[in-house]
Amino acid sequence: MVPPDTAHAGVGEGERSDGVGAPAIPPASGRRWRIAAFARDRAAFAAALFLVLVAGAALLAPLLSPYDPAAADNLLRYAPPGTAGHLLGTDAQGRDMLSRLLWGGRVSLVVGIVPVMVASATGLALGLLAGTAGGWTDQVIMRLLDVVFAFPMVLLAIAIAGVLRPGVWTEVISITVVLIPYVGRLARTATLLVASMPFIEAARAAGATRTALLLRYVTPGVLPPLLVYATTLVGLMIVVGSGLSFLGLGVQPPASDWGAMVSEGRIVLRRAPHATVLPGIVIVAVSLAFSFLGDGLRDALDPRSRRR
Amino acid sequence: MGHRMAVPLLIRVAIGAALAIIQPTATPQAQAAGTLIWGMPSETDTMDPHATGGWTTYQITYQIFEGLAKEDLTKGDVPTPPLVPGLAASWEISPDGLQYTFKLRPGVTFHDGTPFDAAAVKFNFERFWDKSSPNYYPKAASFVVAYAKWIKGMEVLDPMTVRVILTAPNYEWLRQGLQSYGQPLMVSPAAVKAYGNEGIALHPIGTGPFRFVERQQGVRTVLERNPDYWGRKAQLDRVIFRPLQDPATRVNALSNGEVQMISTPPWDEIQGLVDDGFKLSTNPNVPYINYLYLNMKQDVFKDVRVRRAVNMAIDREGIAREIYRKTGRPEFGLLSPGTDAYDPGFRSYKYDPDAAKKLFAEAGYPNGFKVVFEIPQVGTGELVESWIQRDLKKVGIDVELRKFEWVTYMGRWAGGMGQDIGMNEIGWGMSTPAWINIVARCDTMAPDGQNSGYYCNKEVDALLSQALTTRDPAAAKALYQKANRIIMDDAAYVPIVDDLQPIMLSPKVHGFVNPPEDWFDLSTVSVD
Repeated sequence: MVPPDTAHAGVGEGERSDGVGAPAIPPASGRRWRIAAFARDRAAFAAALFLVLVAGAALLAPLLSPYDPAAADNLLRYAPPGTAGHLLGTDAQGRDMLSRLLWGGRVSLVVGIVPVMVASATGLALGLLAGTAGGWTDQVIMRLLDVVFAFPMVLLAIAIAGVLRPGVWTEVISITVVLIPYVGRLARTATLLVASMPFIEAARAAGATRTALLLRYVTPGVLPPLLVYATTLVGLMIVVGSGLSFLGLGVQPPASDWGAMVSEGRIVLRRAPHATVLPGIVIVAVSLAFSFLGDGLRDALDPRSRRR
Repeated sequence: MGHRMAVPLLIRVAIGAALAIIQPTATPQAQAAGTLIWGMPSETDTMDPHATGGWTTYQITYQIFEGLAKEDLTKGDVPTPPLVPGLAASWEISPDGLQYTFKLRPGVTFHDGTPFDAAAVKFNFERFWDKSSPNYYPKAASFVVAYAKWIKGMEVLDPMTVRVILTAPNYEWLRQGLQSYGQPLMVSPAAVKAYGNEGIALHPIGTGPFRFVERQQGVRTVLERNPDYWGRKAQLDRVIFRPLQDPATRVNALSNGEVQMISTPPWDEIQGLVDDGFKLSTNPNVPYINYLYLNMKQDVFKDVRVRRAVNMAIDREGIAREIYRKTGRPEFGLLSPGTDAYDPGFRSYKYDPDAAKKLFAEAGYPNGFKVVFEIPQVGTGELVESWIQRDLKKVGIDVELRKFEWVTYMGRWAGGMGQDIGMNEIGWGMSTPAWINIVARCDTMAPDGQNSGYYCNKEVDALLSQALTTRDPAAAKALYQKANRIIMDDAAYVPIVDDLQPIMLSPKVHGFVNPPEDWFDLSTVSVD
């Protein structure tokens, strides 16, 4: 559904927020403080609760779904929400919308979360290495990431998915590969910032080993901006994943994800708006929730806002 | 919202009816004018009729260009479009079937004023066929191949007579030339010289009833009436082709009056549009069938019982009724409906899931099997494919669908199915029965042809070769039908439905003909 340009621009915007999520100075204690700060942020807290609910519902889809999501009733196509037996109506093939939303959530959430987690971990490792090692290592890593960067995001994902067999895991792999340079850059920038801070100098003077320096002092400073960035990426990746499914590279019918539901339904938007609007609302709500979660995390992790 | 919309619509219909009563004396020959805007599902890549293989191009170029022979698309109720004289006033075929002598139509000029004569014909043949000529354009030759590969020689007998010599007799040759590869239509030699071979894509100059005005890539292509046309002049002042890829956008554009005609409307919107007063046009003989290939190299499909059972397990009637909403017809054979050879009464396998189950058990698959079905992504939500998946599931076959984006899919399809792929599909056909040669012969097995499932039966090949060299259409028809019966007895393919080419028209559009072809003659159309 997402035109490649938009998706690319979207991530670009996220990337610009490098500076905004300024690395926090790692405090020796105060984890409880952060949780409290986060809980005080009502929007973020509500968002987190909502996401837990959505994830729980998707996880329990086999128990919660009133119907087999692939079972079609040809006599009951495009039934509107509220139809007896179909709380949220049916789609173009007479399949229960509620069941499909629940099952589709499993795919959409996996596609949104797994690549972001894996890419964050990989990007963090590469960024830390590049940022602390400097010199040739830095050059080689960053230029390699630049090569991946040079391709428009969706185009690259299509190329990867085209080589592999289409399916959910192909989708996950493509998105992961595509995300690594974004996260990697952010991690490197953050690493450089943190590494130049006085407390690192102090730790080094106190005789900390390279490994200790990296793990105990630099990483905790790099994590917060990365975490914030990652949460905003999740919503975006759900949409990118939908785009890949739309192109036939992701989830295969009769399975579906939310984005694929939107794209299937849009053809008859006039006659059966619910087929498009319902999954659309879910995508917007989940993306927004992740965004609020990210904001909340940033505030909670930001030492300046913590003092408030 | 529905109620508020309904009132003005009723009024509009009433006014229309009143006007129709008031003006019964208006003669159709009176200068009917108007502009037709056609919302099309895709943009045409080029307007050079020699250098393209696509229907979207022909839907535009048919209005601008003509060939020596042309398909008459002004008749909807014929089994196949009659082949009529175009820029050749007449032609003669020698008794051995090798020489075609064309008498050219006198007094015809191209839109740029260049006279049409034997020199122009020669120039065009050089462009798409004669490798030794400086006018040879390899891209054109590669697309016009279905026509050009039969040509041995071409000579100018006098300024208004040309002769083409074939390498072997082929009585479908003229029609094959007008099919979905590049078409041997006559392009103005002066235009090719002025704009270059590549330039024709944007400067299409022919002899047809409409001439080119302007084109904004991705937005619109505009044609206007050719006032100097040699034949019956077009009614419309202008035709505007607008690419509107999104089906919902096309429907909205029609409802809002932004366009007066849309092709490939979403099936589920058709009834609603008809209820709103729009006209649905279909044709039962469109040369186009949707069918599946079975991979004859896969162990399960080597058994004819399995192939027959798959044919029995799919409810074609249900698909035509429920998904196509009566704009499709169940298909049981591999002959293209838009041909004289088509037999509408032919039934190969009736829907019978119980019999299918028995056959699977007999073949040694009482518990079914798994099969991979490759399909193109076309954005309709795989309605038909999911239906087939469910039908096969009912008889114990697990179908794994694998979608590919269109260009990737075409490559995989044309390249032939890999060992792990059991089925794939395409919607295709031509208005010549010789089309079956490309799909079902041993020597057109992928990747050398479009026989993607590697079906090979020498008996079929012999019948098809014989049909091509049979001059009597009735005898040729019998041969094609016999080949079709053998192919379906072998159950090498699974025909599903014929698309009846639904076109939605504004009530203001008159004279539109939906012919047994994938493109139309817009010269008969007028718009109020």
